Amino acid sequence: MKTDREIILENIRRSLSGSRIEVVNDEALDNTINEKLNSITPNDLIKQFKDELEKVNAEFIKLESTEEIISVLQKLFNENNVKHIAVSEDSEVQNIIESIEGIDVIQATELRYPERKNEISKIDAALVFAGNGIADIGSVVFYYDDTKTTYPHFLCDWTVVLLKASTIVANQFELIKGIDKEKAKNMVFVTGPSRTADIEKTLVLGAHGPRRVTVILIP
Amino acid sequence: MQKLTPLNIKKNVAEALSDERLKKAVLNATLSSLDSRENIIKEIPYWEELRQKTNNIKAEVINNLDKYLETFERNCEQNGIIIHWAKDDVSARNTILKIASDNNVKKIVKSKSLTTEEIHLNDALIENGIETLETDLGEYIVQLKGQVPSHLIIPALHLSKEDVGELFTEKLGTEYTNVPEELLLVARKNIRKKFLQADMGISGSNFAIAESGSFVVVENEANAHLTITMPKIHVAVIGIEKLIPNMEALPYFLKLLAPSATGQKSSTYVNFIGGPSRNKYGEGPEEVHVVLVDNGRSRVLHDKQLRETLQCIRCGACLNSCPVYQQIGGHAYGWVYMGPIGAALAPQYLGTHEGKYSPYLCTLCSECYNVCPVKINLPEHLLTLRNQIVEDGETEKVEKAAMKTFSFVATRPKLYNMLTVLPAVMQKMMPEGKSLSVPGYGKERPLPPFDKLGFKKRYQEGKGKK
Repeated sequence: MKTDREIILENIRRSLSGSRIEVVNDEALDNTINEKLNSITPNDLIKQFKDELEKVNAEFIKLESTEEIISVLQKLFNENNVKHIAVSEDSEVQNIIESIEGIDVIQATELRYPERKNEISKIDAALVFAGNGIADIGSVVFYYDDTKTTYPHFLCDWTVVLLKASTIVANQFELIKGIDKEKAKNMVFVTGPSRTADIEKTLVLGAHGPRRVTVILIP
Repeated sequence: MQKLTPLNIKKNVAEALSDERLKKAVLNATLSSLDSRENIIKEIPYWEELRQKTNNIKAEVINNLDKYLETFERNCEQNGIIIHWAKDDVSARNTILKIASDNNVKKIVKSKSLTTEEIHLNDALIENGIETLETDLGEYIVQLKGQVPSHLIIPALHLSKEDVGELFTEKLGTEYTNVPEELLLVARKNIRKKFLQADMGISGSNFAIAESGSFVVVENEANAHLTITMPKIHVAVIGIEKLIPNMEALPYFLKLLAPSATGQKSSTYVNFIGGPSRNKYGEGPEEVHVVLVDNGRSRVLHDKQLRETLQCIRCGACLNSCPVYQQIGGHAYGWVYMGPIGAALAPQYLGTHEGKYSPYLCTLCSECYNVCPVKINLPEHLLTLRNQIVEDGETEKVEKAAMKTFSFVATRPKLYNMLTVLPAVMQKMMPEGKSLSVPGYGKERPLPPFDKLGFKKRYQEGKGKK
C-alpha cells in the first residue's frame, strides 16, 4: 500500500505534468524594490527605531554611556516597585545583575522544566538582551542561542530589553542578509507589547504576553 | 454541531441579510480594517513591486511544489523535526491523534490555525477525551460559543462586546462586563493556567521555509509563542502550499502580511521554529512534529491558471474589501474559508457539486484582486470556476431552463422586442411603488419597480432628447 507521502507527491507530479510554468527571476523588479527601499531608509536609524517603537506602544530609553546602565535600571525598577526580576542567560545581562541592589534576581536557565515556566510566570518583570534591532518596524530580535530562554520575555508582565546601538539594522531584508543561518532557525521578532483587537476591533495591550516593553539602548 | 457545507449558502445568505446587527458589525470591522491598511501602505512606496515579487516567488514554488516539499522534509529532519504527510482530513486527524496517544496527552493548547479548522481537528480531539483549548482571544470566544470563525483574521468579528460579555457570564460564571480590557483579563487568566498545564501544543504556520527546514508563526497575542514553547510536544499543521524557498524570500512576505491582515507595519511576534529546543536550551518542545496536509490541494494544481489560488497567504484583505462579504459576513459561506478566497477554494477543494454556489457570492468588482498582497487574480478565477460548474452540469434546473428560454428569445429580435414590454405592462397592474415579484429578490433585497414605459421606449426618448 502506498504511503500518504507517495500519494501526495505522485498527485502533485501528475497535476503539474507538462504544465509547469517557468518563473524567471525579474532583476529589474528586484532593483526597483531595492532603490525604493533605500530611498526611504533614513541615515539616523536610531531615531527611526525609537519613533517606530513608540508607535507600537513600547518605551525607549537611550543611554549616553555604558556606565549609566546600572543606575538607570536601578531607578527604573525602584520607581516601578519591582522586587523580583527574571533574567536570561546572556553574558551582558549576567554582568549587570550582579550590581543591582535590593532586587531578587531569578536566573531562568538555572531552573529546570517544568519549574522554570511555573516560577517565571509568577514574576513581574524581566531583564533580557536582544541580538538585533530592526529600525523600520521598531522590532527587537531574540536569538535562543544567545538568551537560552524566552520564558522571561513572554511570561513576565514587563520586559526590559537591553539593546546595543550597533546592532540596529535598517530592515528585515538587511537583517536576513547578514544573519547566522543556524541561529536564525530558533528566534523571535518582537514588536511592542502583546496585543489583541479581537473584540470589536478595540486595541488592548497585554494579551497573553507582556503588557509593557521598555527598550534601553546602550552605546 | 451541524455539518458545515457551502450547499447551505442560499439559506445562510437570507438569514445573514435579515440580521441587521450582524451587518453592522461586519461592515464596521471590515471598513476599519481597510482604513488601517490604507494608512500603512502609504508608507511603503514599493508596495506594488512587492506584490509582483511575492506572486513570482509563490508561483515558482507552487509550480515546483514536489521538489520544495522534499527539500523541506529533508532539512526539517536534519533539524530533528518529525515530518508526517496527510493526504486528507481523516489521515491528518488520525496522525495527530496518534501523536497524542503515543505521548499520553491529556491537555492541548492551540493557537489559531485555519488548516486545523479545515480538518475538523478540535472535534476529533475532544471526542477522544483530550481537553483542547483555543488560546487566541477571538478563537477562544468562538469556541466557547460553539461556533466557527467568521473571518480569517478576526474570528469573532460577528460578535459585539455585549455578546462576549454575556457569553463569559454564561460559560465562565464571571460578572457581566462589556469592557474589552476586562474581558481580555478574564480570558488571559483562564488561558495562562492552561498554558502551564498543557502537555501538547498545536499551531499552524504562515510560512514553511524549505532551505532552512524551519517554519514561521506570525501573531500578536503571544499565545502562539506560549503554545509552541510551554508544552513538551509541539505539532504544527501545515498545508502543503505554505512553502517558501528560503529565508531571503521571507521579508517580502512579512512586509505585505501585517498591513494586509491587521493594518500593522509588523505583527507583534514573528516566531521561528527550527527543531526541538528543549534538548538544546532546556525549554520549549522536546518533540516537534510537522503534519503536511494535502486535503485537495494537489488536485487544485491540475489547472494551470487556477493553481494561483494556492498562493494565498490568508491575510483576509479580500474579505474586508468584498461588497458581498461586507453584507453577509463569514458564516454564510458555509465553510471554514470565506470571502472571495473561500469562494474560489470551495469548488476546488470540495468539488464542483458541493461548491457550486460559492463562486456566485461575487459581484466581479475586482476589489479583492486590487488588495490581494500576493496579487491573486480572484475575479478571473471565480469566473473560470463558474464556467466549470456549468460544464459539470451543476446548474439548477430552473436556471438552465431560464437560460435556454433567454437564448431562444434573444436570437429572435421580433419576439424579443415584443417580450421586453411585458414587465412594463405587468408593472401597471401592481400597486404604486411595489415591484413585480422576481425570483431571487425579497424582503431583504427589494427590487425597485419596473419602469412603466419599458426600456426601449425610454431609451429612444432619451436619444430624442439628445
